[in-house]
Amino acid sequence: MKGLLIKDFKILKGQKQFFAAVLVVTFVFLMTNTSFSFVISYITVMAGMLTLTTISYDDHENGMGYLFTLPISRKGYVQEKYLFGFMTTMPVLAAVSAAAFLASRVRHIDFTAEEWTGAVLGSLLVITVMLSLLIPIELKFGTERSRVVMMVVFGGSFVVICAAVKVFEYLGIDWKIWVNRFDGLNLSVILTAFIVACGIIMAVSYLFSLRFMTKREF
Amino acid sequence: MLRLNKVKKEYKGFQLDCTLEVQEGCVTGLIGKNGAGKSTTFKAILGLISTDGGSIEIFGRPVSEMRIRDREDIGVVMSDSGFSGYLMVCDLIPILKSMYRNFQEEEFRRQCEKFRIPMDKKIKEFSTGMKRKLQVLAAITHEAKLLILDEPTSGLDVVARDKLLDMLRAYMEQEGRAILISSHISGDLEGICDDIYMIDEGKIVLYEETDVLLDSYGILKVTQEQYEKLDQEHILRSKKEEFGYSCMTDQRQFYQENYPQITVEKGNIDELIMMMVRGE
Repeated sequence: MKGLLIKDFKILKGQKQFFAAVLVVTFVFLMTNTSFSFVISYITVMAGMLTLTTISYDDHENGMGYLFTLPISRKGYVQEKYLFGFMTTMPVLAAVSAAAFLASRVRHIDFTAEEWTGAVLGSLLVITVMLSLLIPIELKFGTERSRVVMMVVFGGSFVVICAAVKVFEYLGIDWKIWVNRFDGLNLSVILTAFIVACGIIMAVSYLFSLRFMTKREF
Repeated sequence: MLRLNKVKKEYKGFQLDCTLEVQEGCVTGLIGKNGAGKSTTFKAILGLISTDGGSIEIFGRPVSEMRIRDREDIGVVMSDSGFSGYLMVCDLIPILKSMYRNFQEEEFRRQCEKFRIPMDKKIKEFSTGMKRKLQVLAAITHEAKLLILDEPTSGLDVVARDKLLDMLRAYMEQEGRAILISSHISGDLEGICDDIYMIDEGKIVLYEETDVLLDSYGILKVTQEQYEKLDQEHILRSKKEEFGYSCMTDQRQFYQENYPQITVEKGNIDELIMMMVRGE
């Protein structure tokens, strides 16, 4: 796994322009925008894309087939992708969250600790769901076909959510009550629930990825 | 070292049914036309595709039970894939070092210099030949016991090909090693292989030691009349030609001695493949 991690970080080394662009965008957003929650989520999602980029690069010109002729197991490869996702998104989330907090103080913009915590946890959930969904899709369908599958999944999810909201409205069910229930809970309960939920999502995603990789032919 | 027993793989319009063996100390060639099943065989050996039957053993262990450590003893060149094009050769060194306990960094650097492979250029900018050389160097510089080389010389010029074959010969000087190699350049195989398997439409159609193939096999060029009088016992394949028939035999000397009036050619591997594939 160490060799795979080195490979992926070496690939990232060639993405200097991407990092420079992300740094500039972060700085501009933090200095001009008042929606710090959006900045935190956006930059974290950008960092999450790096893991998917490395899968695309591995897949390029059937390179993944060659990778598995080296002393690498398919299980080890899948584990490395999740670890790499964690290693690239968590420091970015921490850094951009700290920067956002600092920027709000420097610019004297009201950004409470509760809002900040909500933004961090929200970003954590978004990135967990995103990677949990996209890593197995990319491993199963490869770079080209996964783009189509992603569009179908995201489009389908949007339609399902919109339809669910409409159905609730039609039936007279106020779904916002469920969300408001979180207000009454204390932070430690919410945090624990969050970590458990993220863990379950990741574990299910990992099992799917492993299944897809084990069956994939090169 | 490597044993395939009735390995089967079915695709639409193609069925692989392959039995072959690579002995320790031997360089074994696998030859056949495009689409004959060479790459499918290599992929089955390397576990890159699932098989529909039969068994594959490497170092006496079923390929499905191979441990990561066992894989360190194998060096591979693939005809249709390689290292990520977004890496540079200098990036590969720490990767290979962490994957192979016996990776010989100095030797790898020395060979890269010898073959003029730049350290600081992205692999995607390499020519096909350079990519192939890089794969071969990576395969032979970690003390592998078995090399599995699918078209390692394709895209190389004559000089580079010669150097590369010399490297493989040098690799084989150490005991306990073996190579399975495929190539469409018959000269490569004639010069390096101890034995050769010929594959066609997924099936092994011929197996012979290279020396026997070159010394005993031959092509007879005969007219219709000569063909009718010819002893057919040692004729393996015949093909209708404008002048009469071309016949492939594994007893060239027999026909040279008993039929002095007919043309008996030594025949190279290319011609033998042609006869095996197109003859009846």
